[in-house]
Amino acid sequence: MSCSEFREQASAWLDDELTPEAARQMDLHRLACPDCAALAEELRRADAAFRAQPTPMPDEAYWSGFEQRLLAHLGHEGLPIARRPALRRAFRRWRLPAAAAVALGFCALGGYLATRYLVRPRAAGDSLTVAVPGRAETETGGVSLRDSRGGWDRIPWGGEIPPSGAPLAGKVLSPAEVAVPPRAKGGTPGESGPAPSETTGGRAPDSTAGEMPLMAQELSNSALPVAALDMEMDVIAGTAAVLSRLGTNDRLNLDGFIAARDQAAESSLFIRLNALRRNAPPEAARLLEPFELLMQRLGNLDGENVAQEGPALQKLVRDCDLTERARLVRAQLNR
Amino acid sequence: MSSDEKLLRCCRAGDAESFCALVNRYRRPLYAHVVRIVRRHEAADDVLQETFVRLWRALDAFAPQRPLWPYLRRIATNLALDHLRRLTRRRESELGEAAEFLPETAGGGAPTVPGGELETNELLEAVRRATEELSPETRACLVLRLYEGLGYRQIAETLGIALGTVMSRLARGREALRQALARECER
Repeated sequence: MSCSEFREQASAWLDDELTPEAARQMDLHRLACPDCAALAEELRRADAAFRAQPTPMPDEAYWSGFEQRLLAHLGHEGLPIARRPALRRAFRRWRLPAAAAVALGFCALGGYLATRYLVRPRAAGDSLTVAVPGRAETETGGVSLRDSRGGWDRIPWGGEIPPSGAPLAGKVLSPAEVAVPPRAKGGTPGESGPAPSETTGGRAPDSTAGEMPLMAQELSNSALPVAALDMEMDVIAGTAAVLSRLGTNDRLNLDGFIAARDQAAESSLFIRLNALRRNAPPEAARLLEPFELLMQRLGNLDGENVAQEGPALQKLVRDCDLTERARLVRAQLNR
Repeated sequence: MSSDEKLLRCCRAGDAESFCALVNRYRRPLYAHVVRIVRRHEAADDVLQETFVRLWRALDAFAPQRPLWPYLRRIATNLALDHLRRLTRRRESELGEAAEFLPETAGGGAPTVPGGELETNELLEAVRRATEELSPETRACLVLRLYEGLGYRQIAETLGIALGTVMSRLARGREALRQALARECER
């Protein structure tokens, strides 16, 4: 080993970060070379001197007010720290009546959804049966279904509607035979497009519209922890919160965001957001489209592609002014 | 005393007092870590507050059984570096602002440095100057290695940089400190 090699690796050697063989070579060279031995000693002293620097700490007057300043900071940012204990107490008092109300709400929501999109797993087997409500898929050439075992099926959509209760997988459905309810006739962008035979020749395009049956299946299972009456607002607020958390992370923390995320909650939000957009008035649906697009891209983000995709998605989130958009959606939905 | 996990679970349930207990537990070590990087009180105060705000925001997503200190240290380190980068962009000099430090020291009493032939105060002053002349990123690497005792891989994960970058920054930082000490010895 030469002296220049020793010098290059001296720092890693001091930190025990070399391989055993490389470390042995360093030891041997240090024993044979007085200059490099002196260098190693100087580096050790530099470490000790760095550690010996006094760490300036503020006095007690600073610490005594720290928590109050922090809580004020949290309150200033709109974080509901002060209200949460009160909410918890209220929850304790009202949890039984609230549980009953939520159960009733789910029953009502399930019944409502069942009349619009009735998707039922067959008792045995993996295929699904469906009574087609008509509105949702008139612009697509296909539909994706997730069966009761969690797998995905893409089903051609261009022939006859099967009778209610018949297996849907593999059936060819005719968009002309799909009844369009009055609200959808006015058409929202993306919901009033041409029939699939005109656009895709009966092939299934890669569209989120094709995920409606999954949404219906999950909603009709009543598994979503949200009260029916507040569902719309919860979905918007929840989506904005998830996306904002991504948007305010800096690039270095993207890995931390990925590690700490709750993908089940994200998926649930995405499904509910999709349902909300489909049932929303045209203007609100248009405003909700970016939320859905961003959540879809977020769903595709993982530990492997976060370095490439994450910063671009963060920029999209920041450019999308979610707070203002959410306010506009609420205003539209409250009309 | 409640464990971090227990306090985090209470925080997630909305208990502000548990959050304050966590803050109280980690604010001093976190301040010490941050001020070693940013080198001035105002910046350390900003970073410290922002770190706890980030923790509060992340409560719902943070698994309570995860160790909290590495998480706080990573957030604080990167916020400190972001702060210094913004300062650099504004061309504000960090030098000389150490005078704003408050007098209390972590160790209590005069620190000692191996190498008794040198006058301790002069030596420390030389090291302080050399430390402030380091880039913030290099300084952060040295702090994570020499104060926190992290390995190269942990430093790389904390800062979001490559292992080789950690290695070169530590080598560069140590060399700068060594030369500062050598110059002081020659006087």
